[in-house]
Order: sequence, then C-alpha cells, then structure tokens
Amino acid sequence: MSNTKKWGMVIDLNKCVGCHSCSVACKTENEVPPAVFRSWVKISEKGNFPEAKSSALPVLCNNCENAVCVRVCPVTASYQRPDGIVMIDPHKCVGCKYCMAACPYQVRHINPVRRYAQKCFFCYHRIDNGLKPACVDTCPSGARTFGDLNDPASEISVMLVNNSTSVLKPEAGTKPNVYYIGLDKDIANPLKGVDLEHFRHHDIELLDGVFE
Amino acid sequence: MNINVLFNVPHEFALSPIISTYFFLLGMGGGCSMLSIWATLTGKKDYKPIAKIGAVFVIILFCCAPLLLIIDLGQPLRFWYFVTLFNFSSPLTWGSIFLCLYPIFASAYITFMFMGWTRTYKALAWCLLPVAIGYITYIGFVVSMGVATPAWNTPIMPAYFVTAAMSTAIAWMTMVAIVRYWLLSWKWSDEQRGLDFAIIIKLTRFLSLFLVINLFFVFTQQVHMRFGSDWAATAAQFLLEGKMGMSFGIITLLFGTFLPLLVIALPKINKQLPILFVCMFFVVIGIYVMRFSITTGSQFLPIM
Repeated sequence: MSNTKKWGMVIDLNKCVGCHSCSVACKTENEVPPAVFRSWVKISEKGNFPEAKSSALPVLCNNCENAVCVRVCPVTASYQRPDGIVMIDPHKCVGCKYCMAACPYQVRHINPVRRYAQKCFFCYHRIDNGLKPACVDTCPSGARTFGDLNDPASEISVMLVNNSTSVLKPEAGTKPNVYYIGLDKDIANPLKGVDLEHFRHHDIELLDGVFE
Repeated sequence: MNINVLFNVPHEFALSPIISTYFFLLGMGGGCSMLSIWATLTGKKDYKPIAKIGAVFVIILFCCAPLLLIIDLGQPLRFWYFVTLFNFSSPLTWGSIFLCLYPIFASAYITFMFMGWTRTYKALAWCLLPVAIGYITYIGFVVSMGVATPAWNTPIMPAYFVTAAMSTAIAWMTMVAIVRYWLLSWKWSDEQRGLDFAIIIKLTRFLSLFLVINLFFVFTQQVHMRFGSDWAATAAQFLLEGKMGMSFGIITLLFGTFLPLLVIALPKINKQLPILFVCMFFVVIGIYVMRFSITTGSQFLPIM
C-alpha cells in the first residue's frame, strides 16, 4: 500500500438522476461565475418513442494522471499535487488558453471576471480538511463516491474492484481519475446525438462569443 | 439508435480568430525572412531586391503579429511571464524563445543588409536561419499538440504549417514584386526590366512547388483522419465537405491552390502579370482561410 494518497471519483450513472445539484453545489462552493461551469451534467435521450430513455452524464475535470494540460502550460501555472490533483496557480496563469486547447474533455474555462484558467480541483480545500468535494456531499442519490485510489480498503477502491467501470476518451491516453459505472459509449461520444445542422444554425451565435 | 442531446454546456473557443490571424502573420513574416535568407545565401545579385523586400516585410509583420498574441491573453499584462517562467515540454515556451531571438538576429541582419556590409549580413543570415525555422515551425507544434480536436492532433501539422507559411510569403512577395515592376519599370533599362520579370516568374515557379507540397499534406491528413477514429473521420469530413467545406474546400483548395497551380502551369497565361497578381492574392487569402478553418473552425465540432 502506498503512503501517498491518490484521489479519484466513481460516478454510478445507474444512480444519477440528472438533477444538476452537483453543478449548483460546485458553483456555490467555488464561486463559479455565470456562463461557465467546472462541473455539469450532459443530458441525452437515447432510443425512439415509446422506448426512449433519458441519460445523464456528469462531466468534471478528470484530474488525469497523465495530464496534457500540465505538459503544455508554458508558464508552469498548471501543476500536479502529489495526490494527483491538477492545480492552476492563479498568480502565474497568463490566460493563453493553451491548456483548454489541449484538454480532450473541455473541462477548463477562462474565468470571465478574473481572466485566468479555472477547472475542478476536486474541492481540494475541503478534502485537505477531511471533507468530501461539494458535488459528492450534495448528490441526493449517492451516485458519486470519492476517495483514495491507493487505499485498497477505501470505498472507492472496493467499488472499482466490484464493478465494471470505464473512463471518458481512454484513447486520449490521459489516464483519468474519474470512473463511470454504466457508461453508455454512445452517450459518451461527443458526436452522437448532435445534429450538425443544429451547429450550422448556431455558428453565428458561437462566433459572437468568440469575438467578445 | 437515435440519440438527442437535450442539455449540454457551451464552451469558449480555445483558439480564437485572433490566434488564427497571429499564426497567419507570423507564418508570413517568418516565410519572408526565409526567402530573404535564401536570396542572400545563394549570393546571386539578381535576388538582392527580393532579399530587401523580404527584410522590410519581416519588420512590418513582426511588429503586428506578437501584438495579437498579447491581445488574446486573458492577462495581457502578464505577457512577460513567457520569458521568465519556462516549461520545456510546452511548444509555447519554445515559441517564446524563438520570438525573443528572432527580432535580435533579424534586426541585425536587416541593418547590415541596408548598410551594405555584405560579409556581416551573410554571416548573420546563417545565424538567423535556424531561428527563423524554429519561428515558423513552433506554431505547427502548438496546433498538433492540441489533443482536444482531431483536426489539430496530427503529426503532419508542423510541416504543413511551414509549407503554408512559405507559400504565403512567396505569394505576398510576388505581389509586391509585381506592383514594384508596374510602378518603377518605366524608368529601368530593358535589361533590368527583363531581369525583374524573370525573378517574378521564378518566384511563381517556386510557389508552385510549395503549393504541390501543401496539397500532398492535405491529402495525407484527409487519408490519415478518414481511416482513423469516427471522431477523426467526422473532423476530416467537416473540413472538406461540412461546415468548413466552403472556406477550406472552396477558398483554400480550389481558389488558393488548384487555380494558381493551373495558371502557373499554362504557358499562355503564366507570364501575364495581372492574372498572376490575382492568383497570388488568392493564395494569400486561401492560406489565411486555411489557418482559420483548421485552428478556429475545427472547434465547431463538439468535444464533450
């Protein structure tokens, strides 16, 4: 057993009801400004009426073991703590957005007020004080489990042993530390369920945002 | 199986049109210096005007391009962190090194060139050469290390961006050489006029070589992506047939590459300066549109 902790999260999608309380808790806990999210829930509908089924996919920073964002940050503002949490030093970040371009999960954003990169840090200020991340504490259905992946007796390690889990975009080679139980690969595929025509109609709107 | 996304969060583009423009201007400036160095090192007197025109555009473009990079930063006043904090696994750090070295060598090279100190500026051309190569290559590495979008994350991107930069620089300098010919040739001797005309034609031949290499890279990228993952295949379709089809497919490939190649290949029209001027303009616009389509346009495809 390693002495160092390695934080990770398991999200049981069979339990997730898509209530967005994790998104709200995250925004409140971390004072996330409007229009940006550190954690959100993608809601999709699969199948045809009358057999259509709604699915929720909570998305947050995977605090990857092999974090591309840390590798590409030109000013070393992004760094990894020994417990695996990927951090951003707000005093060093220049807001070049290269970490956003490198992240295959699109979980970073530029704070519209402070103008530097931000993301989910697994609520490090809470876990350093023995608490759980805000999203885990607030989840009404108990879909999120947080803990030390290096401790074989921890609840998360037991869950990983007893359940079949998957990660988002394993092909990116980033070794994410957020695992999903019951992840439907079609729901996880960013191109499925998106009407490209819809994107065409919203291009101008998107570009407006770009030029702002 | 039918899937509809009912709710997702919109995201800001990581590489904005300002960055596409920065890539374009930086590539063109670097390409102009490469041409100027080539003209200097080949040592032929005929190419001296090219070396001087290239040098002038190096100054103008270098003054514009980095400003765009600073404007795009979330914290523009922290731009100097790029030269005090280093992460050598980031291509942006290497870029800042080249961005610092480039004006030092380029300004010395240009100063001695205009002072006429031949041996000194030739020596400086040798020093500037690796810096200029790094300067135009690093942006390709910046894009290719962006894992977020499959259209960026291809190994050919650095080489493609270099040949695109060279194409823009040659096309731009040909346009300037043609304007110079139109404005000044009336007071030149027949011999001088003939020499200048020959240089313009040589430049267009040189450009055709880079355009063919560009086409090869586009072909390689398309094949590589279409036979890759679903995501990469969709990104390839998106560039050529989808949303970016009009810009990348029509403006860059049809008007910016195939049309100029056709004109340069046809003996009846490949010496008509007005037609060549229009074609060079299409090449420059085509490469700008390529930079926009690949860097900014690719982000229209959903990532998460």
